[in-house]
Amino acid sequence: MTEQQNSFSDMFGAWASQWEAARSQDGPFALAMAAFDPRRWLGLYGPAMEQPFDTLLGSPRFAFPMLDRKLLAVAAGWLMLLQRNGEYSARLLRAWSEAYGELVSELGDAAAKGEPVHAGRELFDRFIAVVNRKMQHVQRSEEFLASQRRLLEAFLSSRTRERELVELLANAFDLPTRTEIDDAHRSVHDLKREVRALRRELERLQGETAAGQPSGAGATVGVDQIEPPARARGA
Amino acid sequence: MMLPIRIDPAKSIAELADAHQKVAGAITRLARLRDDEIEIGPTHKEEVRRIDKSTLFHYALPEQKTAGRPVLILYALVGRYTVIDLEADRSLVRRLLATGHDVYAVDWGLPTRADRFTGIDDYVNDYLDSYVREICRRHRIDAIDLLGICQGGVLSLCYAALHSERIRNLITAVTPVDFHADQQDERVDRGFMNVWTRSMSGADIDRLVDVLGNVPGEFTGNLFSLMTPGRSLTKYNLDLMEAAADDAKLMNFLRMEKWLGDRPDQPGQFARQWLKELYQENKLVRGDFVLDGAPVDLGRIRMPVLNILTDTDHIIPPPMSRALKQHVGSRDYTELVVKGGHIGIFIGPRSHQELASKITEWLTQR
Repeated sequence: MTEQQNSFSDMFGAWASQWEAARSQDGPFALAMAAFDPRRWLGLYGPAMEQPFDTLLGSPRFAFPMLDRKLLAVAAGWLMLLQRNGEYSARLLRAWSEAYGELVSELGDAAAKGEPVHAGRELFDRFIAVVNRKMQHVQRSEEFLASQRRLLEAFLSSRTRERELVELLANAFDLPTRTEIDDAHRSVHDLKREVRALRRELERLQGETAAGQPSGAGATVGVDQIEPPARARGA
Repeated sequence: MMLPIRIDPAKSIAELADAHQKVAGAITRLARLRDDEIEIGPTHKEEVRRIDKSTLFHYALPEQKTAGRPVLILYALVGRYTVIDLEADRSLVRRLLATGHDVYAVDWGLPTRADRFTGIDDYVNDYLDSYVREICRRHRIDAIDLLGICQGGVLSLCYAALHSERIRNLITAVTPVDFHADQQDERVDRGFMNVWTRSMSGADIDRLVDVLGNVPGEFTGNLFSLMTPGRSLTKYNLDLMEAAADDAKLMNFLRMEKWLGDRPDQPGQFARQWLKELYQENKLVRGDFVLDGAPVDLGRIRMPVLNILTDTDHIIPPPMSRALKQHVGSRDYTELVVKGGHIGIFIGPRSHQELASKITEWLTQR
């Protein structure tokens, strides 16, 4: 093979691999075509918009707090939420359009039996009955439940990222954070449970003592007469 | 071929005029009403004890002289206890008082984020136990009659299993027991909560609770709305328009709205146990449900049991409640099927009367 042939082969090979990369799932060609997917219309352009965030968020971390990274994470979270909401809305829209189809079919069947709709209210009532039945079916479908779950996941993820950003700022200004308050509530709750367990143990011991004492000697204080802990006073 | 829609234009205009008239009437009536006129929970009651957000109330009618046997009513945490006393003419509390019972009820209150770690263990072994003891002390008795409704029914079952010596008679109403029994009688118009919860993983539930702290009342309310999509679509237009044609109907509609709008958040730990351990893992009937280290063994419920359910319950499909019979240890088990919906049996003009009289009859025999 001549040098010229080798050179052409190398050039063609490089071009082919670039074309393959462009055609791949994350490549620019696929991203451009994604814009023509109607499911993306309600949720922006999906990967086309997410990719810059993923690139930035995926870059190496440093030891110091990075506010810009938190901000980007929040923005990416909102974007994801928008996209998932779009997918969920698209599924709902499809159910509605299927319901219209079923209504038309039902009306046709009724007319064939000589029972056409004579009043606006009657038409509306039939429509609501069809929508009710259709939605009850759709809501139980795997596809719908998965879409709902994905939407909830996106919401929770977005909320988590927002909280991380707010807590970063709160820490910088010595303000208490939700996490710290939750920790305090957990400690209080655990202490209450300990008090309850101690009160029960005391009651059991008093019961044993009273059972072992002669009648009239029960000078022990009933557990319910013990001053209740602060929580029992409605703190 | 006959056209499917043959609406007479003149009839349509008449329908439209009628609808406009109803809307005008509704606007006039709504504009006259003030929110504080829409009273719910009218029966006189006194606070007996309060622990954290929860309160034990004692009801009394002015003309009531002698106190009968105490019965404690536990409602769910997903709604407020006021549904048992929605208005004077639709009040389970009043009906029970009128038949000679001494009625107590627990208000679980409005949990905040501070209550996120409060679990079913705390509700059963702390709050409920303290209230039962309080009633026993006031009446100088060892055991009381307990009526648990929906989630309150599950709490009652747990309590009766763990503290059987404190419960004389147990009544459960529209109570889920076998959380997977909806699959025996799967219908699209009931049990959506079961399907939705099972569509989530345990990790999904954990994440929901970890992030939000509590499960918001609005979230639960939306799930309930999804169960009846058609009704949710017409509620604030057609239904309201029809209800507003009559003062009494409008007040009933608005009282119900006020009650529905007062939907508490579910404490995080409570919701985690409820959704994961009960709805997903069905631990109550498997005997694996553990509170404060003690397994809840329904077989230890040996006191008389009255299990009330309705065949048209879209929230708790009847097989979920019926399952109780197979699991309780009581030989005195009665099942009562009442006409009405999950909430309707407590507030329906006839059903709440029937319910109260049947409860009284059953208790009187024991």
